[in-house]
Amino acid sequence: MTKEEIIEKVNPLLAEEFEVDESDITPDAVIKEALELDSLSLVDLVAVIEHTFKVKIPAADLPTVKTFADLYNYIESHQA
Amino acid sequence: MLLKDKFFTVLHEERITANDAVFLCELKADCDVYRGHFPDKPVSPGVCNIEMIRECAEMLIGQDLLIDTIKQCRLTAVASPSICPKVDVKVTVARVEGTENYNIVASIADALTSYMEMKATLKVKE
Amino acid sequence: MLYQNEELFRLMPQRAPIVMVDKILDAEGDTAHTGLTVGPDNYFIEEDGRMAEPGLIEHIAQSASAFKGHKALQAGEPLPIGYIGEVKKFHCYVRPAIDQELTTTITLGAEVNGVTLMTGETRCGETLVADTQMKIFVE
Repeated sequence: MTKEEIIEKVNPLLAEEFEVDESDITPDAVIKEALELDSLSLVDLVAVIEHTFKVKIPAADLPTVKTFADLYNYIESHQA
Repeated sequence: MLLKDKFFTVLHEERITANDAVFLCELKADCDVYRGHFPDKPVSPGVCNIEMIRECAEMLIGQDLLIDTIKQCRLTAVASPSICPKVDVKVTVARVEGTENYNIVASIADALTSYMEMKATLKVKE
Repeated sequence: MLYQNEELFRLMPQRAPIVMVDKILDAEGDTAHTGLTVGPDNYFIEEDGRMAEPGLIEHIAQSASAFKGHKALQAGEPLPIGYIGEVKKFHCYVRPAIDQELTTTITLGAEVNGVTLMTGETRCGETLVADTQMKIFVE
């Protein structure tokens, strides 16, 4: 999947799961703030990515995924 | 009711509107549930707090209610009679148009901490 | 049958009067099947002889707790104490009656920083009783 395809697929899913406006999801936005993630909902993000792209983000890698651009890159480089 | 006057007692009831009330509840330390949850470490079971919300909603509406769906219920802090002897159970209900169901938004909190937030659909028991 | 009745106490911290799972039928990978016979003295039985819905949530949560305990035991790790962090998309289809046999499928999902996502589906025979997503928080 190209990065454009990843973005096209993941943004609406995240908007739906976290009940935010899709326009809030921009490459430079900080995921935690845009999706209002806390210690409980972080796992929902991991689950959406795993379910949709079969890409597991281990806890150790999470600190490197700060912005949506980081997330798109992570998915692109780890997809099967 | 299953847990009223056993797991909790209502100390005060403040009706804001017909669809909106705050119940000041005392969590009873002598409730038998703490024998098993957990031995030597009393923690209020999250599901008992859910049941407390249901029973407060029944008092607000004045009818027996069943839990049909829980859209989301977040348990944001550990509760127990020693951590939070008294809590505010806030319940807001709205009739689901054309049905016997109520959407409810509820929370359990004290002055410092929020313990539970719940969005659910309850239906009137036939 | 992997565990039943008091054997489960090796896997989970809950004790009477709020023991809401009494067997693990099988466990493989991230999926386990558990069960509960609804006794007349069950903590969540209401005046009409039916189990209140929060009892089903607790049954599913304790099933997951015992399953995680089983996994910890297999791995030689200490027993985790889990709390319910979130209940999401819970649906109760029918409240079980006394003497009914509940069978539950637990599927564990993603885990981040001690929070595990899971789904549970409870049946009585072929009848769907309840299903839910849940997050279990391990201290």
